[in-house]
Amino acid sequence: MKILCLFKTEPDLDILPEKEWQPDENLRIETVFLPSIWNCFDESALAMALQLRKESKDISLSALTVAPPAGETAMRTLYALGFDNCVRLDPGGTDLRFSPEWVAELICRYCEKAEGFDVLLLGQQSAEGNNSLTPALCAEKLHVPCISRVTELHCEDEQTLSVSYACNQGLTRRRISAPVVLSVGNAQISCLPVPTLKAKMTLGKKPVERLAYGDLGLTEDSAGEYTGLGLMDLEPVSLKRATRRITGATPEEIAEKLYTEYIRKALEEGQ
Amino acid sequence: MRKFLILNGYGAGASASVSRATAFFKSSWPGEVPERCLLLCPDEATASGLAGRIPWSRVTAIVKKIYDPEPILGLLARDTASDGLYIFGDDPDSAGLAARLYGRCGGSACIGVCAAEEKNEKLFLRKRVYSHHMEARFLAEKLPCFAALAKGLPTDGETENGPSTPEMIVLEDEDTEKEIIFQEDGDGDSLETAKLLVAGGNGAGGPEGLACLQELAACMGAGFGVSKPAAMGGWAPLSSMIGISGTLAAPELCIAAGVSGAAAFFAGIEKSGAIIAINTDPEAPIMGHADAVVQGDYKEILPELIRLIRQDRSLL
Ligand SMILES: Cc1cc2nc3c(=O)[nH]c(=O)nc-3n(C[C@H](O)[C@H](O)[C@H](O)COP(=O)(O)OP(=O)(O)OC[C@H]3O[C@@H](n4cnc5c(N)ncnc54)[C@H](O)[C@@H]3O)c2cc1C
Repeated sequence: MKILCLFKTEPDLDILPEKEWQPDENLRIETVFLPSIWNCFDESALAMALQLRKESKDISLSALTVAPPAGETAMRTLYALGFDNCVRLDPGGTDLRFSPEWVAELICRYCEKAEGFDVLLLGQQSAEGNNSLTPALCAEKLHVPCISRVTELHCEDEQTLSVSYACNQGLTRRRISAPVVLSVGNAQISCLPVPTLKAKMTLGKKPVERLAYGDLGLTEDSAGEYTGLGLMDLEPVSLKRATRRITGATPEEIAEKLYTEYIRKALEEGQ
Repeated sequence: MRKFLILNGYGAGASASVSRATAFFKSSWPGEVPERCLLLCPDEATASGLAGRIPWSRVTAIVKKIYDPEPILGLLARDTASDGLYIFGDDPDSAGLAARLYGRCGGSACIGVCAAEEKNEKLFLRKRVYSHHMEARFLAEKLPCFAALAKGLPTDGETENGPSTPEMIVLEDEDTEKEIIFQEDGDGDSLETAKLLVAGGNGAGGPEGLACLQELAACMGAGFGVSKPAAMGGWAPLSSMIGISGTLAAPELCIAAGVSGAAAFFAGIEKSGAIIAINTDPEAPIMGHADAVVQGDYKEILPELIRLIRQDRSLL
């Protein structure tokens, strides 16, 4: 079974101080100096792929990211963890934040170039764009089913997976035959293992396959044609409340203040 | 622009979700009537119950026992209006359906819409982006537009016109070899309506660290929720996850301890009446967003709080 994992590393937005959430004239937030982390849903997807590989030796694992050269650092980790092939598609100067259609087009063209995959495995949404569209768009372009909010995967045979996923009716498990797009949601398997130093030194040095738009028969100019929404404005969300600091010499004193000033009343009202 | 509502009637939260969608429509286009409302339902009784919550008459129900987007997509894609705005509910299955329909029919799509506005025949949609740190305003440059609503929008109150009989399209459940097992999805719904909430997070360091938070929740009769890392780590059920990927709660009082208050989590408690935060780090985002903040170790403060509550309760 040929599995292609699509992933993204993204700036750790949680550590950007509140005053920095100011867009520039191009409606961008300066995040280049923030450390990169795996997108949490993509990380689950990558970890699930490695888990599948443990269950069946007949699985080949590829990973694709659309990212500038810095994205290759993550690929060294993936090689060290046992991925067979890592591909970086250079986005040039394209703003990918709100362009899931373009990203899906790139992914599908790559799939065609690589003569198809049985399973596309990716996280459900990114932090910046929060578009939640890429998995569905890939499935539609490739004319294959899409299972969303995947929480667990197991290998049944060469072409079949047992897929657990969340839906409105509850948690569901079903057997799915490839080809399929799987969009990973809140999965309990959420962290990639840490590769050994030895694996990093050996496997981690495998070369990353690099592609440009031209390799997929596209040009940077065509990116805009794929998008249906135009970004008009970006404003910080204000969450401020009139905060009061509660202090005390001992935990008892603090607890007493919290209880008498906030909690007792709420408990009485709740009765 | 013709407007359609496509609402999902599967699952325990369907009725509230339908109310939120109709409230959204009424507040965005006062006095307008949608071209048609489509209800996706597991059975005819649910369809007529939910149709009674819809204040308009043109309602069609697509009935299929087990939700499967594939045949529904086929039906919907067949007669999508090229000038249509398709508004989907705020549940994740609806968001998935909107995304697939967009992929099939083209136009534009926006998932997680919190406001819509039509100006000079142009459609503008707002949604939270950047992990809920920012709100973006988009112009739908192409139609049809498929818009799925954000979680946590206001409801209409209890609009109840009594059961009504919508036009029904019944789809057969195909006889597949697929094994389908449903499990209850836990108590996410009860967190949504909890009046009191205690929330813990990564600061607990593991399931043991959550014990005193769970004890506090139990003695207050409060709901208990956790942040994503705690849920993902298996320290608490996934259904107890709070935030944009979990439940959006709106309690009267929320005590959040050992959580940084990252925007994606905070979205799940921002509608709380009052928020008490206990955190060792004075710079944690929640320390600027709560009503009462304590800089300290919750493991020292909460046992005292539990003692006080128990003491007071025993006097009742
Ligand atoms: C697309 C996307 C969706 C997401 N959805 C969600 C979501 O729905 N819900 C969610 O929670 N997160 C979500 N996240 C993740 C979110 O951005 C944060 O990473 C997460 O909320 C952090 O959880 P935390 O506060 O528990 O952990 P941390 O950030 O690790 O914070 C732990 C806090 O505990 C404090 N602490 C440690 N020890 C103690 C102690 N003894 N007493 C008191 N305080 C202590 C620390 O000072 C720190 O502030 C999402 C992220 C992305 C990218």
